[in-house]
Amino acid sequence: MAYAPKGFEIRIFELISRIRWFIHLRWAAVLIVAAIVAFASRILKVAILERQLYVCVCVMIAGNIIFAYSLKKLFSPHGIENIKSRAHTAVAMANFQIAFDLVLLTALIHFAGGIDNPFNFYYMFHIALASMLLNRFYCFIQAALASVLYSSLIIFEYLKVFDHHAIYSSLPCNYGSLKTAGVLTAFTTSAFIMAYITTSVSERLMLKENLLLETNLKLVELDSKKSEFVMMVAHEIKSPLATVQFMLKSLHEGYGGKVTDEKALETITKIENRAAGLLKLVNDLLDMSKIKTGFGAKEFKKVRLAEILKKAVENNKIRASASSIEIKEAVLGKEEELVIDGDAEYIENSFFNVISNAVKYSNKGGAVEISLERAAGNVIFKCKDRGIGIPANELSSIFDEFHRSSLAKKHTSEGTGVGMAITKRIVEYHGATIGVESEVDAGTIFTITFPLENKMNEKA
Amino acid sequence: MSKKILIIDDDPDIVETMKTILESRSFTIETASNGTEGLEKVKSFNPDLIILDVMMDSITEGFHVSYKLRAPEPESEYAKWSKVPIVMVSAINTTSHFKYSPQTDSDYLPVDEFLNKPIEPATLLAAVEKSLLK
Repeated sequence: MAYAPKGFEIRIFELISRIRWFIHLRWAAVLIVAAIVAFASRILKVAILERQLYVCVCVMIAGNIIFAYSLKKLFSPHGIENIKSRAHTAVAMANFQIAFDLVLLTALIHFAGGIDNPFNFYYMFHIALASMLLNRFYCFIQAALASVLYSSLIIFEYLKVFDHHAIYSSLPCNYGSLKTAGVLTAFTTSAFIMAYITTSVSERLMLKENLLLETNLKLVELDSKKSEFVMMVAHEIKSPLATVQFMLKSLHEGYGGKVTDEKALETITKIENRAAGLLKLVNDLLDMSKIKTGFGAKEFKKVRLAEILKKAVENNKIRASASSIEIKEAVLGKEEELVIDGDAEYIENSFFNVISNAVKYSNKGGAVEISLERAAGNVIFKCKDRGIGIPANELSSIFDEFHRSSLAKKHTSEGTGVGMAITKRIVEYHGATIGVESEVDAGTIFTITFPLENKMNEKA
Repeated sequence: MSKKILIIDDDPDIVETMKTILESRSFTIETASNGTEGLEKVKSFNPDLIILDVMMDSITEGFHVSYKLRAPEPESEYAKWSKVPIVMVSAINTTSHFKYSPQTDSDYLPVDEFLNKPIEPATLLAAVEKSLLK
C-alpha cells in the first residue's frame, strides 16, 4: 500500500513516540526485575545467582540511558532531517532495542535457573511489543531470535556447555531429552503463533488507520482548497464593491455634480449601507478563509492583552453609545502579567467580535461588562451582557459558520454569522478555549481562557 | 502652479472618480492603467505625487512599481523620482497589514501612505495633502 507522504510522516512520528513509550516501559521493567530478584532470593530464598542478576539489571539501566539519549539526540528538531533516514533509523532502533531485551532476558533466565525458571513466558511480551513497533517481517525475525536464544540456552545447558544453575533443589537438574525437546517445541511454536496473531491484528488496525488517515488528509486538503476558492472569489467581489462604494461616497458628497433632491440622497445612503453590509460579509469571508488556510503563517510575539482589550473596547464605543449602551472594562492585576504569546491583530479581532456581539444583542440603555484577569496559569477574558440571550438548544451551534440564532435574527438583520466562527478559530489557534453561558432575556457571558504557557506555537 | 498627480490603477471607474475628486481641489491629473504605462508616464508627466494601486496585471505589480521608483538601481532612469511621494491604495485585506515607510529596506514597503479600499473621498484627499506637505 502506497502511503501519502504526509501519512508516512505521521507514521514515523507515531513509531518514534512508541519507541519513547517503550523506553519508559523498560524503566518499569528494571524495577520489576529488581523487585522479583530481591523477593525471590531474600524472602523466598530461591537459589538464584543474585549478583549476576543485578549486573544484568545494571546493564539494562545503562542500555536504557543510552537508548533514551540517542532517541532524544537523533529525533530532536536538529537531528536527522531526511524523512526516509528518520524512518530507517527508527526501525533499526526498535529492532535493536527488542533484540537487546531478548538477549538480556536470556541472561536473566540463565542466571535464575534456565529451564527451571517459569519466567520464559516473558519472551512473549517482547514479541507482542515487536508487533506494535515493527512490521510482520521484522516481528517474525524477532520471534526467531527469541526462539534461537532460548533454545540455545536450554540446549547448551542440557549439553553442559553452560552451567545449569538449578533453583529447585528437590528437582533433578536435568529434565531428560524428551522433556527438554517438549519445552523447546512449545516455546518456539508459541513464539511464532504469537507473532502471527499479533501482527495480523496490528496489520488490520494499521490498514484501517491508514484509510482513516488518508481520508482525513483528503478532507483537510479539500477544505483548504475550498477556502482558497472562497478567498479568490471574495477578492474578485471585493474590488468592484469597493469601487461602487467609493463612487457612491463621492456622488453623495457632491464631487461628481450636486445631488440636491432629498429623496435621491436618501436612496444613495441606503445603497451605501447595503454595499457596506455586503463588503463586511466579503471581508468576513476573507478572514475566515485566511484563518482556515493557516493564518498566513503568523509569527507569535509577546502581546499585552490589556492593551489589546482597550483597543477593542475603543472600537466598539461609537456603536455602543449610539444605542446608549455602557461598556465597563476592568483589568484586574498588573498589566505586565497579562501577557501571552500570540498575534495582537488576531486577538484584537476576537475581542472585538465578542464585544461587538454583546453590544449588538443588548437592549437600548443596557450595559456590557468586560474583565481581564489572571487565574491559575491562565489569563481570562470575560464579556457579560444583559441582552437577548441565546436559546439553550442553539448554544452549541453559535460557533458554526453562518449560524445566527433565531433570536439574533429577530433582533437585528445585521450580522453575517461568521464573526463567532472566526473568533473560535483565532482562540484555538492560540491554544486557548472559548466558552459561553447564556439565558434568554437575561444575557450572555463569553469567556476566553488563554494559557500563559502556550504550547501550540511550539508544535507548529 | 498646481501640483501634478499621477494615478496608476487598472480600474477605470476608480481612476475617473479619483480624478473628479482631485480636480475639484485643482490638482492636475494624469492616469495610467498598469505599471509599465505608469512608469512611462512618470518620465513624461513628471508628477509631484503618485497614487498607486497594488493588484493590476499581476497581484504585486504596484509593489514592483514602488520599488523601482523608491529603490532605483544606481544609474536607473527613475533615480530622479525617488523622492516623489507615493500613496498606495489597495483592496488587500486589512488583516494582511502591510508595513509602509518612506525609507526602503527589505522589510518595508517604500510608500508614504497606504489606504485600504474601500476608501472615502476625504481620506484620499487627506492622504494626498499630507504627503505633498512633506
